[in-house]
Amino acid sequence: MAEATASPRLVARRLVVAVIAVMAVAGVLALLAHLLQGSATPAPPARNPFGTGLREAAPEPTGFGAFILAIQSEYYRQLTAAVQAMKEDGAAFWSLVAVGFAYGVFHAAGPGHGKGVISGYIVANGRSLKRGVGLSFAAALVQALVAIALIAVLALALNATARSINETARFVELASFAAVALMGAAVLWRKAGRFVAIGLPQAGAASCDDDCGHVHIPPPDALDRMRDWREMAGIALAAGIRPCSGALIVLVFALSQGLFAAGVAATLAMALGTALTTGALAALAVFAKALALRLAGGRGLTGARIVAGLEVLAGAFVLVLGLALLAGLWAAAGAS
Amino acid sequence: MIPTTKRHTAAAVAALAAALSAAPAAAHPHVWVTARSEVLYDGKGEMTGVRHIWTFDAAYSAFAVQGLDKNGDGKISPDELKELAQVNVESLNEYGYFTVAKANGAKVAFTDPQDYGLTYDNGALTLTFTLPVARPARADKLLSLEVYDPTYFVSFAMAEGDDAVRLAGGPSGCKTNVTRPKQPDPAKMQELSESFFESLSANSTFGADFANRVLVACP
Repeated sequence: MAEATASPRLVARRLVVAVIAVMAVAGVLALLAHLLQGSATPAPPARNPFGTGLREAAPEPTGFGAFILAIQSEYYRQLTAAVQAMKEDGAAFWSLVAVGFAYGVFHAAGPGHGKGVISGYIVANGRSLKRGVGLSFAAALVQALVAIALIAVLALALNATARSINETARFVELASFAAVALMGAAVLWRKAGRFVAIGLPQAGAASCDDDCGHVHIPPPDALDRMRDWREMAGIALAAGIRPCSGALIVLVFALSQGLFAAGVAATLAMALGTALTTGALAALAVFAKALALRLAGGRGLTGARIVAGLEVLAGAFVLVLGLALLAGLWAAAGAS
Repeated sequence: MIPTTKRHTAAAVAALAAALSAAPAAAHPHVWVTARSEVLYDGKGEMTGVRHIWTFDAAYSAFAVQGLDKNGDGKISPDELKELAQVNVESLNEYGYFTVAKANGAKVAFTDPQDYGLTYDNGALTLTFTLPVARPARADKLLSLEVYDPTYFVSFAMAEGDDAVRLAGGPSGCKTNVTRPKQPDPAKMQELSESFFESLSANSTFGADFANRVLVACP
């Protein structure tokens, strides 16, 4: 297999493919950003104006964005109102869970990087619908658990200040963005290798009898499967590990009302809602990939090259996303 | 055939890219502030500053004061909030204190806040600070004051009632007019009411409407 025969020429080609893909993706995203006069890649979360708590990407409060924005803020307010209501009446628990779920559905309709990471990964690897949706749920669950763990340890156990919670969350955020970039780089490198390998004679195959024009995709063996699971776990972590600031605030608020368990339930309900929306987008990515595969199917080498090229671009997209988020953090740190 | 494939693939990529990147950016407010403001004049028709009194919503208040009850007496005193108050005003610098003022039509420059402090009562945190002007600005005819976060992370609303904006030492006979952002009626919070959706029609300006505009017109 070509991946194994790492001749310097192949490595160089692979590198060239990877660099071109990154430049193409970055260029297109920059162009989109310019055309939309907004952030094509999710804008890096800016600093919190009161110096406490994370804050999220800047909104574009017009048109459809305004609509989502309005619904979100409405549900968010209902969420905090439901926590307060629970203090008087335990029956408000179910409305708290229901509102948390609804909030999650709409909140995830925003520009968070998690969806980009998961969709990009799916396009790069052609995951099944089941896996795509599974990834979305795993990422959402990771996000909820990180928020719950952060507050349980920092606020509940250590009685840390909002500022320390914020600093810890920022560290988690940095790790999350770095993980996105790393996962993107890993996928891109692998896919670039496959792209380069397409059409090359199989290692050891001296002649070109009935093999030519026929693509060799190595059958997934046990090793591949293990790498698969590792990679999917990495993607779920990278996409989900950054806690959402709304969840942090709701958890601390619930804690201050002596209703931490209710806050945990609301956070998990939020995750379920988030998973639903992210899963829908993941499904879209699965279908897009399937469509591309079908269109390219039976077109021999060219079709395979197009699909492999698409996969390389998707890998590059995840890498660029991670780098853009890191650059945003760096810029924000430099400005402060 | 091949060009068709390419076109289709390109279309699929484009659709996906659009779905990923052009998704509506939608950060919604995580902090709600009920604002009261006092415009400070020097008694000679010149504006010398603004004093803001901003009260935060219950959830954010609880978050902000988490872990600050240093002496563990169950109360959070202004002293225990001193450090946070400083962090607040320092962080607000980057955002221009969410305050835009024009005196007789000319933009007013502010300097570092003074007399700042936080209080915590009944689960609500209140930030108070004075924003002095860099140099006194003639405002004997018209003064406009806007308090809002263009990124909508913080949702500002001037307090209800006539005392939301006060004038200290202003020219006599001035009329104050406060325009508040159109926000969903808190009373209808239980339901996403029909009128709420109607207010988000095609030419919805949910975004543009969140500025609080104060106009002080003097004879």
